[in-house]
Amino acid sequence: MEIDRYADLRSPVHAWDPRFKVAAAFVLVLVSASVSSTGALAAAAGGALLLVLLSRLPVGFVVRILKAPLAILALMIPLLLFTAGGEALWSWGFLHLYRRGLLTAVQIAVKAVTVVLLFAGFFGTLRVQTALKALEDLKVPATLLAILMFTYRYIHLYLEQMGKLLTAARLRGYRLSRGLRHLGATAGVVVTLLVRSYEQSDRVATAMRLRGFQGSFPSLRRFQQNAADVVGSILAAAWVGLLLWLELR
Amino acid sequence: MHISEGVLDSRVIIGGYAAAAGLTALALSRVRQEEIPKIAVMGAAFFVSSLLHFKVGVTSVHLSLAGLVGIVLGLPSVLALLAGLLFQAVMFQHGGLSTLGVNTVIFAVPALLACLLYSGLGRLAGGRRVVRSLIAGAASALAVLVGAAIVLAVLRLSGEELTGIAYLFSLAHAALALVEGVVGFVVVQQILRVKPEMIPAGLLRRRS
Amino acid sequence: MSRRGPRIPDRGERLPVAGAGILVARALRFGYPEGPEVIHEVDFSLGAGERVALVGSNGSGKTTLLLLLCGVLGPNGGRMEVGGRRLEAGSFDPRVAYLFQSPEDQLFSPTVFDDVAFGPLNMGLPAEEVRSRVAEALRTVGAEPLAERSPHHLSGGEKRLAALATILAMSPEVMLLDEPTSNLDSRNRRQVLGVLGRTSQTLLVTSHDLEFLLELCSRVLLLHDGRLVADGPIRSVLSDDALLEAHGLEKPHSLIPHRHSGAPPHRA
Repeated sequence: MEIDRYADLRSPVHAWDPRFKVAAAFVLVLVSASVSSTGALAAAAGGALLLVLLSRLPVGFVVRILKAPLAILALMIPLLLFTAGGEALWSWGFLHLYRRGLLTAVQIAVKAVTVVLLFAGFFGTLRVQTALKALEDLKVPATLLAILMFTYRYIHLYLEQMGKLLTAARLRGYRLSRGLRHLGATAGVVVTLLVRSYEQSDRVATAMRLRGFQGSFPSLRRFQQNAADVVGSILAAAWVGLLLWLELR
Repeated sequence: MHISEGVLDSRVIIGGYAAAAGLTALALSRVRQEEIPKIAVMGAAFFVSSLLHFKVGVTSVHLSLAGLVGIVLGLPSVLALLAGLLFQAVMFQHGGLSTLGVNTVIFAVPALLACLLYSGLGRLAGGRRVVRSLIAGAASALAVLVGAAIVLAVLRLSGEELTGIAYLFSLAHAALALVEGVVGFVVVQQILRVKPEMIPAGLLRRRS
Repeated sequence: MSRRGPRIPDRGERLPVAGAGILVARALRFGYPEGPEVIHEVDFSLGAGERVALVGSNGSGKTTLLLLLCGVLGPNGGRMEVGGRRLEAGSFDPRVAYLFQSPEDQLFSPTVFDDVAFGPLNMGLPAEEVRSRVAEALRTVGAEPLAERSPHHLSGGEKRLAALATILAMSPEVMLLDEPTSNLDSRNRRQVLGVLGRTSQTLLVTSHDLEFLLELCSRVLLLHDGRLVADGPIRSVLSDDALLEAHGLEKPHSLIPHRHSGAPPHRA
């Protein structure tokens, strides 16, 4: 499911200059994932929620985005509750529910949801390709950027191809996801994709050479910032400041 | 094999990013411009391939293919893995942005080790396809084990209360290592039969 | 038995090569390293604005020849000239453009706009000129609304047109097109035909769609086992049953006599 499905809506977050937005996203995600004090965690979560509200992304969309991390948490939290060690809150025979486990579980859950909400708010409001282009102004090396952009482009092609390969395999009776019985067929799909991609990469390289590629990736796009972008960035910086203050005091 | 959001300690997150940045810089310094299409296009194929999963009991287990990526791409595999992990977060949104650094290390270090192992022992194996495939299989399995070890270390560093979970994950990874070993063997065997030039020797992939 | 129409050379004989053509091949030879020779002594000369078909059964060497002509492969012998200047293999020469059989190979940038701009940008043109070339190319193929789309979101026909725009933007003199209508439905095929028909470049086109070639091209080169066995007006050559059969081709429908297509009747 594409994160940028609603990248063409209108909202203050959508309108924010992509460069500032991507930079703010990274900083806020890193800080929000790093705090552990109750105040900072609450502020981070609250801020993330505010961001998503401001972005006017459809509620259903945001809920769907949260499904994946919540599923992981659903798996992890019970394990954590019963294996964390230390003081036990409740016990049934040899099964202990640990206080430390409960606290950690809550902390992890809040952090995970916060980060994913931030992710939705920031990256759900611009196209992936635009975000990648913004990285150029953020001083990401051109070679790495080119690799990121081309990889993204060809992922979609191979997703399509894999779909067809899996269908063909299914029609021949291979259920590749049911256990390990059809490992050979699975390996076959992998080999097909890899060999095709190897051959295609050669042709793509040729196509690039034929259009004059010599190692650099000159680009045209210039982002223009305006006053609103600067305001947004100041707000984001203030938010980071608040989080750090709450964490360190 | 990758770590989800919210679990890691701040020092581990920062450390992870620093280590990943170092590996990335190293790979970028040695990459040749002509390799860019191969790294990206094959990186995309590896990414899509790693989406294949097996239902094991209640959960589903994905192939990491870290060993294979290292064997096929060499040092630039760091870049392909970074891209793959980034887009996994973008396309499947189970988080992964704050853990991008750590996860890159978890995949890249095993990939490079697998490559070293394969290149090193491959020289001793001579041209025998079966032997080289066995080495690839062993390297793939080892890659998962090394990745699991890093996951274990990283989780332990993030908190004692995570120890239980860490060991459980390690157990799961041990099983995965076996599967990946077999897959690595079969895949490399077929590639050596159909397109041997895809897997040249050497960490830096110098073409003759 | 008298022959009208093109003078079709016997095996071993070569047509005299005309003077200054836009794209000239002289005694071209090529074989992959450690492999047999796959292109033998190919000679031809294309004039400016000519639209020439390149036909031959599978394995006859069509794609290889095209790759030689744009400098991707280096010949083992002979030479090629573009506009009177020698074409060196491996050099970037925007005067000769190549359209890949699969547009996926040629559309590698984030958006169509980026792809079309890639060539002009690498040619070192200033930003304003790049923009105007991109706009012009997209307009020519009728793909302006596609500019901000990603290649993987395009239909087959749209991809083909976008790929065409990427090479038109470099203002080539010669365009080598490898199966430009493969996998296209009739509407897209007609669109491609229309676009190519309106261009002024010299075209060398391979295709299994002989009807398409009949509509677009005036001349045909017939390749068999890497040798040029015919070079002449397209309707005459493709009406020659014996020639076609000898080289593994079928006569296009519209040239079969009972269809009253107006083609010169075949002489036994």
